Amino acid sequence: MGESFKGLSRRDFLKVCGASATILGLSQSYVPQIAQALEGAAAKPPVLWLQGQNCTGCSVSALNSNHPSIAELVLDILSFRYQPNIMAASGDQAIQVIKDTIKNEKGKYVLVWEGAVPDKEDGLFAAFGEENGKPMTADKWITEAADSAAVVIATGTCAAFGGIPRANQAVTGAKGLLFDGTAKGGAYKGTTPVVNVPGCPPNPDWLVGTIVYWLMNKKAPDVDNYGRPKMFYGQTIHDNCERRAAFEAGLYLETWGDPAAIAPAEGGTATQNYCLVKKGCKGPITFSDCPIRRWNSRTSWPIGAHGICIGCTQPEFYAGLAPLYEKVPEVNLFGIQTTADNIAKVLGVAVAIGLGAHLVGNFATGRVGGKGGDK
Amino acid sequence: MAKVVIDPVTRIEGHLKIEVEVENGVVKDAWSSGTMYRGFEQLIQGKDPRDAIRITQRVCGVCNTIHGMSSVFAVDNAFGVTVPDNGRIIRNLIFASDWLADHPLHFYHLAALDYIDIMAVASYAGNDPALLKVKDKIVSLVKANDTYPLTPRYEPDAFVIKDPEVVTTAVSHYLEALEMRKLGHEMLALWGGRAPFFQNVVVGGVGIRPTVARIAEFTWRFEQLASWLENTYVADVVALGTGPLKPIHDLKVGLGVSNFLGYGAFDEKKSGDIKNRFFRSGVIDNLDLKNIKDLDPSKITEDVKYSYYKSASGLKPAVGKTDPDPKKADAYSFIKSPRYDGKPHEGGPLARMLMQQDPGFMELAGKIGVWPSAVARHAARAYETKMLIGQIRVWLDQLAKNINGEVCDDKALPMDAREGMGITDAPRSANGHWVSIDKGKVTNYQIVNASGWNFGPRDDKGVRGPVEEAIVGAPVPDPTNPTNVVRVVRSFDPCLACSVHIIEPTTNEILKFKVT
Repeated sequence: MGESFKGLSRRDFLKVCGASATILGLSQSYVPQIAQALEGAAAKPPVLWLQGQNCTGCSVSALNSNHPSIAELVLDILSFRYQPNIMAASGDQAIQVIKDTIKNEKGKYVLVWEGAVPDKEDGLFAAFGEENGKPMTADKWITEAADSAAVVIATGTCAAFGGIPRANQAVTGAKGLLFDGTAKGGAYKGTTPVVNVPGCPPNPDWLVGTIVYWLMNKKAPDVDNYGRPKMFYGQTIHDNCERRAAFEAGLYLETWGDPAAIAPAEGGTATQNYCLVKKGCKGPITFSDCPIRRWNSRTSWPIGAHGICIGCTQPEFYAGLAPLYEKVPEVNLFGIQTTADNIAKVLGVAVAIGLGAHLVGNFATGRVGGKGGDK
Repeated sequence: MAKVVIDPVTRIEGHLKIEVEVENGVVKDAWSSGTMYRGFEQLIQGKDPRDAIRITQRVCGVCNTIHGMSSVFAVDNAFGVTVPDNGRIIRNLIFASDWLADHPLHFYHLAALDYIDIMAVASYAGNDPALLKVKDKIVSLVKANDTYPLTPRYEPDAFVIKDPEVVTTAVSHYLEALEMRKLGHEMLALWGGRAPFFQNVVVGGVGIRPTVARIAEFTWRFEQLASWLENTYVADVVALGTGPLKPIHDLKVGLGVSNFLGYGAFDEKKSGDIKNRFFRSGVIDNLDLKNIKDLDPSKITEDVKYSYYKSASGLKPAVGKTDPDPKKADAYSFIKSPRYDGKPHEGGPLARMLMQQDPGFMELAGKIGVWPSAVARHAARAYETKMLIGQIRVWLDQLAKNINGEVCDDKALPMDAREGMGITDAPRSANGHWVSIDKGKVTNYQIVNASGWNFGPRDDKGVRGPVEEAIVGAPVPDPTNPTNVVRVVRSFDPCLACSVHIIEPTTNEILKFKVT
């Protein structure tokens, strides 16, 4: 290693490594190992970032990355060959870059895929670039680009599970890469490993952390049944929610902005901020670390700002979680006892809609559970 | 005649394709095509109308606050709520924070690479430590033979700025802007929970109450961002627009349809009232700046003859239909063709500033020449940023003086049949949602989105949309380097994915761009 690493001073380089350790929740004593992993690469790892039925929200969220910053990611750590929102090239020049990367960097590049992949009407509901005067559709691109990639990161709930476009699947055929909602069987049929980083949008830490983990270890992090890294999606919102005490105490907000249900520090007169579960909060059935990690340089998060969790990291999102502002039927409010029979009935439902083992544990303790006849 | 297709147009949001015909080095005709469809208007049918406020934000990850606000105005209107002042002001702060993050993103990260030769940085000969750091960075990328994503690119044309000092300064501001725009999203998150996609704006107002601490946390970020926007972003746009980029304006690159429309933005009295907004609503025809007409939303219709929809053409949005047919003959876009009084109208910062006619803007316009162009749109965007900064301070004062005021008129879901309209200007144009509900479910939902006004295809009469019209006349001396086409396209800050290729009709071969 000379004076500089890929254009960074040694000090700046170690800062990047330290930030990477932070995002992965590692102690700073890992900095030398991260430095070794990044220095070990002869060149910056190439990245193709392609988009299907997307809204660019995942890309915009990634711009908010702090540790490392987006400028460090794009210019210092990775070689962003194709990212449609920031790259200089347009048109055929841009398309040629994808083709060259697939051909020349086979097995070496990271494919980040944003958006669902539709297959109805020959895939014409999402296309970019043309070949012989015909549109290149997302369902063609995914096979070609993923098959030659080292790893695929399905960023956002659309890419992971189909997300919001999947609510209109009857018309466009929208699916995720490996999943169609909670069911296996998405748009990508190949064998390249796919890591799901859902969220609408994903927190930049989840995406950047997954990429950095892969760079360090050359393998995907430990994932749950839905392909989500457990280090970010291992617990429910409810597990770590700052309003959990209110839930346990049976204090529920009924009217938005009601000072009698809001803590003095937040402009109200109540003893604490009341739980939002009666307003439809999906925190009890949603897996992510939002309450701890928070958003936008940790300034806030949805429940912290007195809004509900809409369950955006879940494979059921959106259609399977509608209506958003009605109480989740499986959640028992304080004081409602559940019989063993009812728990068994509800467990059947829970498995059918794909809730994780952790939630099943909560059903068993009676904290979360339907009344059996709810569904 | 050469046919030029650019697919995809990058550094925008979404999937858009643009085709142009070039004759004697000038664009003679143009077609703008949206190449992606998800069907929000379909998937929200039968759902709880309150869900629309969350879900329709995902129409666009860049314009999400705009769709959220349009949606909540529409559902507010249907529910018949009266939003309390603090609810209205907090919504304004959420919305305005996004504008302050969005405008510099557009200028530096989406548009600027069309105007500077980034490789000129290597020739920087000054001593400024910050600029030398930028130089070192770019030089090291070149040495490592990996300059992605800054290359490949179109060959720099005659209008591109090549002065090493100016370019290096611009690149250093590009990098600064990446950090500064995050402050706008942090400001948004303080009131809205997170960005993108705020979470607590609900029918009737907001869920969050103002506190002195939150106002302070917001102000601390806002004043840092405001200072940078005024001293760097606005200063850069004015310096470049009146200096090295003036020749592009003088050539009238990107003139457009000369009709303008605005729904107004930022409610000052009653929430959703288009007559009392900080940026006023109105209509200008044929660039007649002395005759600003009141906006009449009943004059809005959407044509679909050239759009991939089999539903009827010319419908008003309240009774609009969205039934896609991606193989429809003669159609070339998933975008519909919105018309006001039967004519195409441009929306966005230039429309707003021409309607506002603030003395400072008119003075700036006088310096560069009062006609629409790609450069004029950038100038208008920068100027309105400055105006908005001033008004945010007013709203913060109002909030602080009424700190215990209510924030929400929380009404139950109505079961009878209702209709609602929610329209507001967005950073890039005018955006509207129309909702019909019955028995607590959405029975119809129509979105006339901001970029639709500008990027829509021809209407049923064959009249080009504003962007198509604005591209016509653009100089394209080299069909393999249609830089002026993408300059015009990006000056409208498109929020959809575009595609542009270059085809030589004689051989029908797509020319390959030279990789620089």
